Amino acid sequence: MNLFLVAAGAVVVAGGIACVTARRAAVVAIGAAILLGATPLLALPQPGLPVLAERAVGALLAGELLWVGLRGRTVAGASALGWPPMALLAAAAFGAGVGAQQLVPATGPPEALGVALALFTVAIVAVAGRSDGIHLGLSALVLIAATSVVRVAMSGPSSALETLLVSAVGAAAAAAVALLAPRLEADEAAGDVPTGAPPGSGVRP
Amino acid sequence: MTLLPLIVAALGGGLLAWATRNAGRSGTVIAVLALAAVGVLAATLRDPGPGAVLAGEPVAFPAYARLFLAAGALAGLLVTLLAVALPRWPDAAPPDARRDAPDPGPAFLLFLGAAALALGIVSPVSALLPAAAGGIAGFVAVGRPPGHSRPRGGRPDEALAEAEAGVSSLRLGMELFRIAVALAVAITALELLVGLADVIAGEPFGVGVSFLALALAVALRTGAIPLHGHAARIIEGATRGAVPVLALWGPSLFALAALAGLEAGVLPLGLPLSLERGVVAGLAALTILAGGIGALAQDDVDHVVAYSILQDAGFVLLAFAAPDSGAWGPARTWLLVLPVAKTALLAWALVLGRTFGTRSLPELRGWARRAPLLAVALALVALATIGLPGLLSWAARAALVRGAFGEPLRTVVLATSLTSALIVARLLILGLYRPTPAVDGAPDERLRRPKPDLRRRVGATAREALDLNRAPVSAALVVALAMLAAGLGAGLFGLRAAAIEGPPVAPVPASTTEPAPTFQPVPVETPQDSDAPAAS
Repeated sequence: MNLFLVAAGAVVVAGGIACVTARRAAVVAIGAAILLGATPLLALPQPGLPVLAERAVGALLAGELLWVGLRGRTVAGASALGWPPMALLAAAAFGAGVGAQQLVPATGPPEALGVALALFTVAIVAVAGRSDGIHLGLSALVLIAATSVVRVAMSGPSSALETLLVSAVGAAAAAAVALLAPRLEADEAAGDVPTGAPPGSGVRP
Repeated sequence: MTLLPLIVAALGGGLLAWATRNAGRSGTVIAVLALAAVGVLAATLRDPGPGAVLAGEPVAFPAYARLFLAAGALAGLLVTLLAVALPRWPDAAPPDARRDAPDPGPAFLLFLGAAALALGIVSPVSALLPAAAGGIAGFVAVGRPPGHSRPRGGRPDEALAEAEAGVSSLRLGMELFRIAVALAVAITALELLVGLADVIAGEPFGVGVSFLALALAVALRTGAIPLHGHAARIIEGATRGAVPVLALWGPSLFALAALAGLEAGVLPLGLPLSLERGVVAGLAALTILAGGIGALAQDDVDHVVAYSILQDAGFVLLAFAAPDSGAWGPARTWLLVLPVAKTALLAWALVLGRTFGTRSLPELRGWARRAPLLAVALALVALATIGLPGLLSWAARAALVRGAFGEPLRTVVLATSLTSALIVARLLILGLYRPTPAVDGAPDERLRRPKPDLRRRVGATAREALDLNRAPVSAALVVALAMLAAGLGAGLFGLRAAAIEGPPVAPVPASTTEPAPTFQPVPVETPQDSDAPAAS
């Protein structure tokens, strides 16, 4: 087992879990950026610098869009499960995915299939809880990342255009999530809501 | 490189129009100009020929892609102009009137940029990515929910607004999730087919599961019954400007990419897959039957339109139930006629509601007497979707049913599909009744001139003229949209020939150092059936 791929996979899955379980907009945005930006690292042979740069730019754009769209607003629909059980489920799915590579002949590394299965698990478990629109959109983002990892696991490294397309789909989904967030009222835009929000309302600065 | 100018014009124009959406009419003007440019580019650019590569992926620009993009640009242009010319709501506007507002131009432009990529990329698996992005493009037209961040302590109307915003956000979030699930399922299924193809010669179970997954991804995307509930709510409840891309153009593009995957990944294996095809055909028949009944049972124009769309989307699934390549041409014909015709139907419903101030069919009795142009538009939409013997849309529907069913089911499903005609007939007959007071009090379609005033500016005169003639101008735009649909349904604009051309074949790579193995589609035989568009 390639330890670098396992480590990269752990980072990707951690980003996915942060994306669907966090309540702070900043953590959601950083998690999404890590999730989308680190997936090309799961390929063998490692993609070239331009491809990694493409994905990094796309991931940063997606994170920025989420941050702009969600900051100061409610991220209250986070998963019913906390991050520890989610991480355990993802680890189990990772093991199953690595084992499944024995059944399905593929040209990619088995760790990638494990990560794909772990991300699918995270997305499905996340929507099984108390979802709202934003949370469903964030789960969709995890699914899109999982889909790109399936491609890596089955067919090996992506072409430059496909890398660009995955970045574009991720950024488009992040923009759509940002558009789902309710519009700020003028007084909220002035900044008086987050501090005055009642406890437990889910509003975070 | 041929595709690049078109993609740049579509994506650049879409982003610019969206960024300037709040700057008066600038966003609309930019969207109109960009849509016109995309339409002209789609009609004039030519296929670069075999060997063309874009960023490491083989690409082509076949006649069908050109026609799809040109028709999409023209439909988007007409819908954008319609958003400007719509009649204003009467004083007693329904409470959900605000969902009519946003401009559909940016959504169409971004969709067309994604569609150019999805139809141009040769590899069906890679093409699914922009096809999914095309559906997501509809989100730029949804507008942000006017919600309130205070969960407690607001006035009752604020609480209501917040609840409405929550429901709207939940529906749209579910739509995004549906798009992602369909993408994940379709790509995983196609990848498994590539991986399994060499392993399971004589063991069709794995291929059958992958085939079913691919078909179910399309069913989920098109809203086939029993997966229809959410799709129907999006058509009925989402912002009007977003519905054509979210519910029609996006799913059609996704189905086109999935159909190319089916042709390349499943049909060459030559497996019968009778059980799996039977399941898909059953879903399609159920959708056609229940969609028709649903549309006939509704009394709200939006509900009627929603179920009518779902019913006709059922034909898409029939392409996946056919055992050979005979459905390729008819399915591609249908996947272009369907979004154009149903966009016209959505526009018809929107103008009808705005003109008469209600969407309730009992209150709309006599509408056709007051708005004959709208009646003509509805008849043209019916001609486009149902067609007549000899027209392309009729042949495509018949060929899809014939490919999926044997007798006597074939005749039953074909007869059931004609409930589309009953739906239109019901609407038209209601329109010929004695008008209700609501219909009688609405503006008719006669053109009016503003009172002469030499001291008034030209721009003010034009605005006043538009305000006086919103009903006839918007009805004329709907007729134009319906004529485009009817033309495509009749086989004009070269659709008959474009639909049956086989998928482009990727060139053999010159070197073996290419990192990604490309999914190679195979050329498709021309359908030989005498009633299919190929031979008619």
